[in-house]
Amino acid sequence: MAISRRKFLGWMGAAGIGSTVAKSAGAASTGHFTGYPGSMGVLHDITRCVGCRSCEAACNQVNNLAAPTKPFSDLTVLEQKRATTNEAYTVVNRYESSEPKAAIPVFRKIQCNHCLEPACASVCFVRAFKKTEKGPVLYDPSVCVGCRYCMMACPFEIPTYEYNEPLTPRVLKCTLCAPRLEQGLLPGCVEACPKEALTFGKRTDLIQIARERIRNHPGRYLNHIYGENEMGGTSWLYLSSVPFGSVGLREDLGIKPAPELTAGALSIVPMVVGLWPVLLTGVFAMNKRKEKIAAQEQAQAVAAAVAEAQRKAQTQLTQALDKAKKEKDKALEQAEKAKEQAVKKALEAAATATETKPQTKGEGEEV
Amino acid sequence: MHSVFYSLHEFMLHTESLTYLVMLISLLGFLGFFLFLTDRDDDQPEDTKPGRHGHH
Amino acid sequence: MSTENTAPNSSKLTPFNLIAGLIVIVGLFITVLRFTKGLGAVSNLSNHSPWGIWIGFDLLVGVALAAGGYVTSAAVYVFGMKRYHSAVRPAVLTGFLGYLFVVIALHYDVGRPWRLPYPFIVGWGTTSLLFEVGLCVALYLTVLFLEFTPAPLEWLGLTKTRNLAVKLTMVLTIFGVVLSTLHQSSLGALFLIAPSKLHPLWYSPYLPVFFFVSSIIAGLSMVIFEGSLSHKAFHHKMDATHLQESDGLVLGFGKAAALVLAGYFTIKIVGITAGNHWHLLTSPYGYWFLVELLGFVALPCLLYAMGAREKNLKLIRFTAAWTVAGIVLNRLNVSVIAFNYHLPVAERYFPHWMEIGISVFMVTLLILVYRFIVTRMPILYGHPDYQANH
Ligand code: SF4
Ligand code: SF4
Ligand code: SF4
Repeated sequence: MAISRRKFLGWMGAAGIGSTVAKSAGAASTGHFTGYPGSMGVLHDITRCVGCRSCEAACNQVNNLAAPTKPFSDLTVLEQKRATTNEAYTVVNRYESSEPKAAIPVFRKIQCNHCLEPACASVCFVRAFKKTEKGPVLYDPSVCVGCRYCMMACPFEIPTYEYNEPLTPRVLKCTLCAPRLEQGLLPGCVEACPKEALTFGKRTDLIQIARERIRNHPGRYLNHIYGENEMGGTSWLYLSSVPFGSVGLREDLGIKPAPELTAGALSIVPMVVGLWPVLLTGVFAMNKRKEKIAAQEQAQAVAAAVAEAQRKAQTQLTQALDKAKKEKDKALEQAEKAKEQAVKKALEAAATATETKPQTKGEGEEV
Repeated sequence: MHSVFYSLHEFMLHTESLTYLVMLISLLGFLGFFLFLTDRDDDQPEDTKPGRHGHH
Repeated sequence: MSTENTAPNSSKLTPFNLIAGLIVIVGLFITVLRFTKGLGAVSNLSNHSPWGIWIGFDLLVGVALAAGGYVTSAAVYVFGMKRYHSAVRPAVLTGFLGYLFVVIALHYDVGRPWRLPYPFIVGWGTTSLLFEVGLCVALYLTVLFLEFTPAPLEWLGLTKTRNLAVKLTMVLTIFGVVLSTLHQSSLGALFLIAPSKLHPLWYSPYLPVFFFVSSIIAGLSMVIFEGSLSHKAFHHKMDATHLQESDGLVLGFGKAAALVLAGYFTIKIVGITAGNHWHLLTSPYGYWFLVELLGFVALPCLLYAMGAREKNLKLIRFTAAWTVAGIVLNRLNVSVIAFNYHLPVAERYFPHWMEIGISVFMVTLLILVYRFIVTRMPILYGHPDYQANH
């Protein structure tokens, strides 16, 4: 049932690649998302891979990449752990199994896994990455700013960057040979594999194939299809005889789709925008009110103090006036009295003076 | 306008874009509403500025 | 009025000017290299470590330390602490320059800098936290610019425009706080997408909250720290109000920082507990985490508190510098030191000297522009013609 490249073209028609994806039932708009129906993928059976590097050579050729310093036939490069570069969208690494029973080396091909929920697409602020309906995750260099957040985000450390391009650097990675798929061709690497370690097909079919292989050869495979659920699922799937961790596939990624990791933080944003102004204006208004009340209280206190002072002053004034009046009256009385007395005295004196000393009259007149 | 989403990313792209629009409108709306709310206060809205000790 | 006010040392060959000149020359040289030979020629960035200190220091630290602007204007205008009014202008100026140089530094880091507005023109990648950060930084830079404009307008004597700008203060302040809350936290949220790459002690679903709360600490400490620096350098430029209020400000902000640090310490502990990471504390990364948590969160919290109790301004000023260092450490830990912790040492990132060169270049330019402005415009003193508003 494995789909080899020989059966590919016939099978193509059945799968209806190139036809529009049916917008049908099953795809929920909330909750669970199952990916584009009928999208394609590749199953990499690590137990079949012999590390011949034919896929690397094919990839180099179909993507018109620069020729490497060492030819693809040179297998000594396998001595080092390699990663994808901007001149090699795929590399094969050799892993010595730590388990004593299987002392033979295993090989794994590395390339973009074309995630169903790509982290690279989720973080790109210009939407340069897009999961296409047919499966490939594609990059558009005409909008890319070159922030390299996609590279930070990719859990498989796949996208690479043209660090030596001063002004027009691009992010480069495997395209799942989308241009070849358009022409009805197989991905270059799949076509080149002599061992049929790579199987191209509908992702749903590939999962069936993988399950079948595990069921038929329980001793040969671990009971796990890597990529079925990792990071929400990937279009590139892996079967292995050794733990996936020992062939450089991280087992701690979890099954959460990448966008879910940031969904919480994103959901807080509108809450802040909606409520912060309310809160801040509230605090501001409260302070303003407090200030106003303080000012009013102060004003009232001042007014009260002024009123009090005025009242006091008024009473004091009236008292003073009263007093003054009384004093005036008294003074007048006294003056009157004094006058009368003086007159009386003077008259008396004058009377005596006229009899004895006539000069004192003058004195009496002066008073 | 009910479209079918096949991936969470697609769905979020749709809802987040709308959310940004909502945020823009709500900010402007809040400003307008606040002015409406405080328009008849004895303080003029322009007086809501700090550092103004213009009263007697 | 401005011409006589030029600082006495701005045109002379002081050691500071000499070193600054040298840095500028080297910086220009690296700039040319960057835009002719590419990032590869001037940095140690790689496919596994695509973000280095230009993001970790220039962006993350830069934005955190520029938080003084929103913290101070919120304290004064929203929370009604009018007695710190004289601190607003210097803080807003540093905030504005900080963000400006963050954006300038980004031009070195991104591949095609002239496309920086693309997210808002052609991209609309709304699921990205970087989109949110970019939008907020762009808007907030504008807000800071508007908040800052009264100073140059007073300098230029454009009274009408200046009064219009002053009228907007309240709206700008609230909008600024909203934007700051968003992007300060979103800078932390940038790393939420990579739980497999950031060490679990630093990775937490609370990262955005950590970043936001620590930005308040950074803002408060930066205002104190900067205040003591410019006190030394620009004492002659400060008016009586500024000098009078500055001691109270140091005390008040020190007290506030102690409080916020206490809260920050608590939520960091909650972070470890919620992630069930206590056992990791006994690993080398755990020791390093403890250095940050105890040495640069708990310790300054205590020192600030002691300083505030004993009214020890010197201690508070020292603690402010210490806390700023702690913020730098935290941002670098998240973005560089604890990032890619799973990689073998040989594949880890260490900054190229030219990367450090550009970062130093940016800081130097910032200081030079700051000096140019405070020696001319009414920043550290109230403009005599506009006293009524101070
Ligand atoms: S493997 Fe990485 S680059 Fe490829 S689709 Fe997934 S996240 Fe994107
Ligand atoms: S480097 Fe380009 S593709 Fe990658 S996230 Fe930035 S803008 Fe998007
Ligand atoms: S699918 Fe195409 S681009 Fe991807 S690794 Fe294979 S040959 Fe290379």
